[in-house]
Amino acid sequence: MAVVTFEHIDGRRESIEAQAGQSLMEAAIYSGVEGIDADCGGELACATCHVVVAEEWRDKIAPPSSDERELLDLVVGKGPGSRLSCQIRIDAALDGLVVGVPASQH
Amino acid sequence: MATVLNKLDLPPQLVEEDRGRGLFRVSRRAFVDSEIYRKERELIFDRCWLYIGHSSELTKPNDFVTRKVGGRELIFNRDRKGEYHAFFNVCPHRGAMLARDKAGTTLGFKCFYHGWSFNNNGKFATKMVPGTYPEGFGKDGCQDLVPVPKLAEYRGFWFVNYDAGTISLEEYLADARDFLDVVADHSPLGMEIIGGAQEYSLNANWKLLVENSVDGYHAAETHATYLEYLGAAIGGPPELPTGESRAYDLKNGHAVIQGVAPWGRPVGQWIPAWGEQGKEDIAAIYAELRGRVGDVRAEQIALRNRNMTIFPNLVINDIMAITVRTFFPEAPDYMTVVSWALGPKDESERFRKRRLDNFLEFLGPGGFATPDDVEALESAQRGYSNYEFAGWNDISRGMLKEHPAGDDEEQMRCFWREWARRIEGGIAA
Repeated sequence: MAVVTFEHIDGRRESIEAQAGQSLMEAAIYSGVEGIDADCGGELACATCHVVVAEEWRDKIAPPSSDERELLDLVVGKGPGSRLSCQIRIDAALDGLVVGVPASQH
Repeated sequence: MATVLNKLDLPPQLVEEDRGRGLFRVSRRAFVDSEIYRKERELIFDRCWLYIGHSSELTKPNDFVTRKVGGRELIFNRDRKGEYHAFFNVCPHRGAMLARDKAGTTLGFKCFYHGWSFNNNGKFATKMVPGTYPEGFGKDGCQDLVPVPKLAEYRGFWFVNYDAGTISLEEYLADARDFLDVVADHSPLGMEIIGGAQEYSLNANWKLLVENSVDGYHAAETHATYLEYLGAAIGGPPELPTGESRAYDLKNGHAVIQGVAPWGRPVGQWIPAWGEQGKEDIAAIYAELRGRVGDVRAEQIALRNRNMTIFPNLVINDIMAITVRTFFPEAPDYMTVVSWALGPKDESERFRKRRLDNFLEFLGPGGFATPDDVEALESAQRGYSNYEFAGWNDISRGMLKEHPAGDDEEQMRCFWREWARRIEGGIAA
């Protein structure tokens, strides 16, 4: 289990409990975090689960696959730290993770 | 010298009823003719409410099942908000079946062919490299899943209709609603489909199974071996429902036969084979029933058996186990059958075991009843090869009685009147 915090563009910080083995996207969807649309439901097709990982956490998450990188190239506002949250697997080591929800998804 | 083949001069009419003389007969052509089969697909299966599933099969948001209903592959699911949907199970791209599992839980569907992905509310959800498709492509919904025209529910029983202009499910069910209430009210916590489905097929016309499912007359003869076994279990010769069992016309082609029966009912009828503990359990169940629905309804639920047909192809048999059964004609002489067990949500392990044993040992494809029924239906289908010379089924039994019984044939006549109205009148309603 890990506590994850989502930072919204209006400054609001939303912390949720994520279960080990879930994707970050699933944790967001089941907790109703606004802005994580995940239209395709985790199939690496829609790029609407885009998050920006806080700088200090970037090297603590497994790097993206080539499929994820390909899809990330199509997101609006891609920057360093941009990831698709359906590809981030939760475990205890990510307790305290902070990610931003991009403007394009609000 | 030329010979003359003395075939019957078959009138075009397929169902003949003479109420004054108490005669009712059905042309055997109805069971073999390809043109009639084609009309059934168009005027019945594409116009009537068809059973798709039970609420209990989709207990939480994102659950789904897939099944073929009325000849079409469907997805029956709940979206992220928990709303129920029925979609045609076909990718909007090049038509591969989208959901390939029988059941599951998913936030989205992904086609295995080219990877097109969809939200479980049906909306297309795949990002394309700009320029792949014209500007605005898909805005008209052409990339979204196509919903089945109508989806509606009554007491946990979900139905679809391929006719967008059809009457409401409630209106269609007419007096069958009351008997669906009886089935749904067995338990204070509601009913649920238990375990998996029984699936089998037989070489006979689908309408034969409608008739067989509500046929009280055949039990003593066709199921003689079962009745011997039952006699041993209940400690004496079984009394079959005869005069006490009645047929009810529920309108719109629906019918039910209801009566007493010698076997036990986990919802309220004890038999010696269930012992003293069983007696106590049943007494408690009956007491709860009476408190909740009143004495009259409680007796109906606990001590009466019901075999019901909902036009065209849903059978709900509330006997020892409750069977929910649908069947579909792939050809005039071939049908596929799917059967589920329905039971109370809070049932004790002891009674659930009895219920499921019965579902298997009596009603199951290899049980005491079904193989003999299959033999009867397939035998009739073979007999119908003679339809040009011996052309009529007689289902007049009990027609002049004020209250036809379960072993008369009024319940079949209800079905055939509605069938004839749709097929012969060319009425689609």
